[in-house]
Amino acid sequence: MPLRKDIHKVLVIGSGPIVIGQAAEFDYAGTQACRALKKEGLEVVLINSNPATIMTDKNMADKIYIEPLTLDAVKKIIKIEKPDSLLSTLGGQTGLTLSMQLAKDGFLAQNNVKLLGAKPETIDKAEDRQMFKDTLESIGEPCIPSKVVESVEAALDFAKVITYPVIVRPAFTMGGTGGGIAQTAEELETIAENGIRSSPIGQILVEKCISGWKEIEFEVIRDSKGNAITVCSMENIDPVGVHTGDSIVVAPCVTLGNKEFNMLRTSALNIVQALGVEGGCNVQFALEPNSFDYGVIEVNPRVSRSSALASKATGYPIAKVATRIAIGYTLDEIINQVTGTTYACSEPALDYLVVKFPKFPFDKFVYAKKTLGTQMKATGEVMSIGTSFESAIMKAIRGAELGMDTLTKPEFTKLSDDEIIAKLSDIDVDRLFCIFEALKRGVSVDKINEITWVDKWFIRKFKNLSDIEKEMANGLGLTQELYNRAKNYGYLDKTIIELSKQNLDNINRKSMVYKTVDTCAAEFAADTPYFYSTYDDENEAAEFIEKNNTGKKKIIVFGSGPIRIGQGIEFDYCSVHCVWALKELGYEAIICNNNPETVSTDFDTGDRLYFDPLTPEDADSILATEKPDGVVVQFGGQTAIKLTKHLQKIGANILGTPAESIDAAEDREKFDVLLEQCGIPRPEGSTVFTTEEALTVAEELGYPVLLRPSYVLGGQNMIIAHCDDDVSEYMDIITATKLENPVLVDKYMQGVEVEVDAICDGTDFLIPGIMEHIERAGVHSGDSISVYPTQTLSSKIKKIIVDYTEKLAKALKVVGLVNIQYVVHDNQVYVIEVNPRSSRTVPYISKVTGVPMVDIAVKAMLGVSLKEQGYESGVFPESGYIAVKVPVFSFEKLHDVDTQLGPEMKSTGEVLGIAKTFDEALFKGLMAAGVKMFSEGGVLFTVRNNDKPEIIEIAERFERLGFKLYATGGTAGVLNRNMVAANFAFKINEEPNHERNVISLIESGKIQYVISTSETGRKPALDSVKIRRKSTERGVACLTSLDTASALLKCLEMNKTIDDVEMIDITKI
Amino acid sequence: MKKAWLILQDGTKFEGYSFGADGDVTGEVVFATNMTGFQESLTDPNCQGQILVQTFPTVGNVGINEENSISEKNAAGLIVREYCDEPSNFREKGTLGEFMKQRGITGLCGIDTRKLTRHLREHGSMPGTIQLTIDNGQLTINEPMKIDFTEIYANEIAQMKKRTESNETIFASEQEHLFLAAAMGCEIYKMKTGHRGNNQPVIDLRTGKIHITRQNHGYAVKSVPADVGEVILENVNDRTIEGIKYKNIPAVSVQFNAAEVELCR
Repeated sequence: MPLRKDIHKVLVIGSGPIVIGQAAEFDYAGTQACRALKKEGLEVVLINSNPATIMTDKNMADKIYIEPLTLDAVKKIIKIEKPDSLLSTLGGQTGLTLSMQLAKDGFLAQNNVKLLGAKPETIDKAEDRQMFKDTLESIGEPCIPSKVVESVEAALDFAKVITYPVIVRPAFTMGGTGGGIAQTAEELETIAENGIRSSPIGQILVEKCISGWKEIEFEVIRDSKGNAITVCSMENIDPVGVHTGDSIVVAPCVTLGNKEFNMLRTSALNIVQALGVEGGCNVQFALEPNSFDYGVIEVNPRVSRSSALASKATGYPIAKVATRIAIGYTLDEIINQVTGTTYACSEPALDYLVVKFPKFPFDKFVYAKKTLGTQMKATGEVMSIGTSFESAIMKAIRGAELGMDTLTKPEFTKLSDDEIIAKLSDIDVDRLFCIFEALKRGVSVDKINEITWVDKWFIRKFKNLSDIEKEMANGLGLTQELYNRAKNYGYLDKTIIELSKQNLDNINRKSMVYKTVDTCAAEFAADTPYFYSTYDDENEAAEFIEKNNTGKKKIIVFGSGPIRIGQGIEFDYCSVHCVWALKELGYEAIICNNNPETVSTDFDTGDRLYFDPLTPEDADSILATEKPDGVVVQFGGQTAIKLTKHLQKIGANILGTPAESIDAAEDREKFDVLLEQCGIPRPEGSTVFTTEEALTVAEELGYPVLLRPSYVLGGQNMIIAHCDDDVSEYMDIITATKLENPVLVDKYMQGVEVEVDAICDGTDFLIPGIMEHIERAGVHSGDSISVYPTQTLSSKIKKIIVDYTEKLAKALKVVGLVNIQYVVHDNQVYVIEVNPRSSRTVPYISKVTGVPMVDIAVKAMLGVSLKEQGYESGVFPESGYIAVKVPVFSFEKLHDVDTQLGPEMKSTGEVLGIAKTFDEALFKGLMAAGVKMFSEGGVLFTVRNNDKPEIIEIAERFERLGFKLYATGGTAGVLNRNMVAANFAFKINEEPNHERNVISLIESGKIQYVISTSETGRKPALDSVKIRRKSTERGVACLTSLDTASALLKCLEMNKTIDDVEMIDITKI
Repeated sequence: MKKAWLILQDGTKFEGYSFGADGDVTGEVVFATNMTGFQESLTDPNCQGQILVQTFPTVGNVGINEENSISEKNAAGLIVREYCDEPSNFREKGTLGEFMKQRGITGLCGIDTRKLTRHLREHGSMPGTIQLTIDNGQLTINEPMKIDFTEIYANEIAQMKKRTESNETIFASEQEHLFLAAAMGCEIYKMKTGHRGNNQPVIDLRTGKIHITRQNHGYAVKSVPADVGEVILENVNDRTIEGIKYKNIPAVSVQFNAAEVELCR
């Protein structure tokens, strides 16, 4: 059936801010959906609170609302826009849950809105644990013995029947939030309690733990006629028990025989039929490795992280096809875009192997637990494609930016054999590296399999790598044959030289060639230039370039790699816009990136896509094949910036800001010289290498001081030290790994933090907007609430900022984008940081001001001046709207991470509130970030001495609103002495079981907000950290900056609901 | 591993390593895109005499298992990118290489199978030889390859003809589908590369329903005269005939493995 005649205006709900378990994959899916709908001539209305997305771009939909994804806001927008349909399955769990609620309470029916994608019955059958079990039973599909319970007691009773260990899975949560494996009744009590709380319907599933079974996934797509195919099968290297988002995944399955493969494939198709899914669906299985026993673990009747991976792994665009199915098409009517001749009803055939490798945030959260379980912890992932498993895993490791290009983890080499064998039992982020170290020590494949349950096929592949590394290092010399073998396993020349301690002078070097991802294993000719590298004889990319010579100039855009804290979806937004701008200007735009979740790696974003790691040697090969006229590094975050030196060395034409300037901005000494020349002050400071030096410098500057390594990303490993102990603790951690660059010690200045993104063409500069942070300097800019335009700065200060920005941009010879952070202290403006590249704030400022920053920057880089583009030098006129960007964290998923904000970035995503007044914008922003607005209840204060004077006013305001105040010893004293009535609360150890003990209070539900600041943090054993963790686990908003608390109060004092504020269509700004 | 070469009729050479049985082998070189089931495709009667190229990059990973359905017939040669000599599967009863030795199947591994597949796609399936030595590099085939289907399978077609005359209800699949069509007077032609894989989409023209099918054939029915029967199934990608309902006899035939369609509905 072609396009349904009764669909004209479709509402698409996005997935909101990036959090662990719900990341950029939904921007990729949502963007595909919007484009597919628009292509059909349908009117598209979009709601998404996340401004850093491509899908919220003006040309993606007809009406775009960057508003809180709450039921009330969505209802309000439906009433305004009156869409006839709602697409429910492209916005992750957030979009699906909202759609369900709208359907179930009859709102959609009342407003004549059809639900497209998945029917409520389908969603219930897949997500309600009991209905899911019943559905599976009715079609004879096995599930794992389990029971849905709503109380801890019932969980304990059932666990007794099925025996421990058991897995707890909360209903209707994403990324398995609140779940876990319990080995004992004691553990189950805690986990079940957590799970019940995490589930919006207070329901958990207690399930028999099937440790050691294989975890297999199928991506299925089905149309309204009941035609269904499996797009891709995937196999986790880690056995069942590790969340699939945290697992190393291989596509397609490689350790299954034909019989078990088809058994599971058939089961997946049967399930999707029974559920009546129309669109994409993910089915997860557990398979006993020594029999045909299996059980269905989970079904997601929507596009997901796995479907994004499957799309990139096969070239089959699941989200696009699912969207077209939702509006009426069937699989035999949809052309396979990659071949251009076959149809969407062919199951893709792969002639390569794909590895997905997760990216974890533990480099930032040094005290967090690194163990893996049913709750996802990864912030992002990389995908790699190889013609052998070995080469694919090698690409994945070097692409994940772990500072490693083999599977050898340096710290494991220091452990004894016994320690390594003992560590094999730990299910954590380093397990693969531990297996590799064990293999190097001669531990047998069988023994490793016995301990880890990882299939022997994989272990033998790792052994191939450890064997060849030994062979290269054995001192017998590198033969051509050995070199060739190493290349086929995916070793870089650099690594071969390091391992063999030999140069390659006598070796006939192999260069990479490119093969095509074509959905059909070369059965049909492919139209789509989607490539990956391998060491073979035929270069399909070179062939393609020759055959399709357009005569256009070619530019390579380097992307931003895996999503991590500090380098998120914003950089993909910028990369994609750069590509679009290049195409519009008549260039051929070529993308290199390795993140499967993103829009940039969609095969129809650029003119050509190279899905490969972003290392110098990989870049060399692409340049050798493409022979580009220019390369762009300033939009791909630090990942692309890191390539600058190398690209300059090999003589590539780097467009925009010169490499020397990028270096000057990052090299402390050069930067200081530059600032001096410009006459711009910065906080006093110095560079050090040792603890002793650091202590001396801190003494000279006077506490507090800011410590950070040079060359930082997202405030990695940055702290504010208030005393010698802080300095020593920090330096001990940082000097534990080899220090290549010095540590910076700066005077910490408390003041208003201001941020500027500017575009420069070498002569003129344009500042689209100046932003001001709500939190005083000291909180990382990515974690601060950021306001555009500034609200408190005098015109004199603004003038100085504009002046400094111009001077810096010119001194650095910026051509393109530059991001500068300032602190205003005692009416003096100081520069904190200059980044001659795109930044986190570019997407949101572009959207609010209507200045397409990346487009302008790209044009400037290609020689079109700002004047020629119609822009005056200076500050762009302020918008009539106020935009407040609020950070969003994933603390509930990361155990033992201190939630206190500081100079080290912790947020995973952001939302935006837009309104005509500051208060309303702030209100929307906080709402969108999930902060609940209570009008009564309790507030608990426990603050450091420095903050005590300021807390009085804040407490008073809460009191005036009718909140009951609680405070620990010192804080309570200060409040009461100042005539603010606060109830005394015991500290954690004072009266552990007393109802007024801080922990009991938080657990009792009497506390709605916690305001907690402390001089030191981070260490999980500290009381202050425990209080903040408890709040997070209990879902109580915990504010760790008085400025944030004051901002929240502003909203509470307004006493408004979403009904009182205007919904804003940003296409009209 | 010993070196070995594939030499195609048009002179194209691939250098790799030998596995499985020793000894040179000549046959039509065809590619198959299935990602699992190398044992099944290698022992598919349709592959008899052929040199099978698996496009999947690693083959042998689950070894050989003893299913009673394993056929007596097999391909003459097997070409893979990577041969896995250490299988891992609970049903594994020996390696693929050992099995090939027993059956006398010559193997070639370590070549760029995608390059070979693309070559076959562009130029069509063609004869080739796997050999352990290379001298002049010229492929000389003593006897020209027979390509006329009715000539190669004259006996089978004659037998099928008899069955059609007996008024027996016939359900024919795979090769039998072609025998039946030929017996009923339909023209059979040799396809450029054929259909070999587990992912061939077939549409039932009566209902619009799609089946994903396992196929392994290099010949197809060109057309069905209106008085002989009706085409009921077509390949979605290339619109070749995949199923026929006959008019004057109680017979239906399909080009694919029907058991699996039933299995997968």
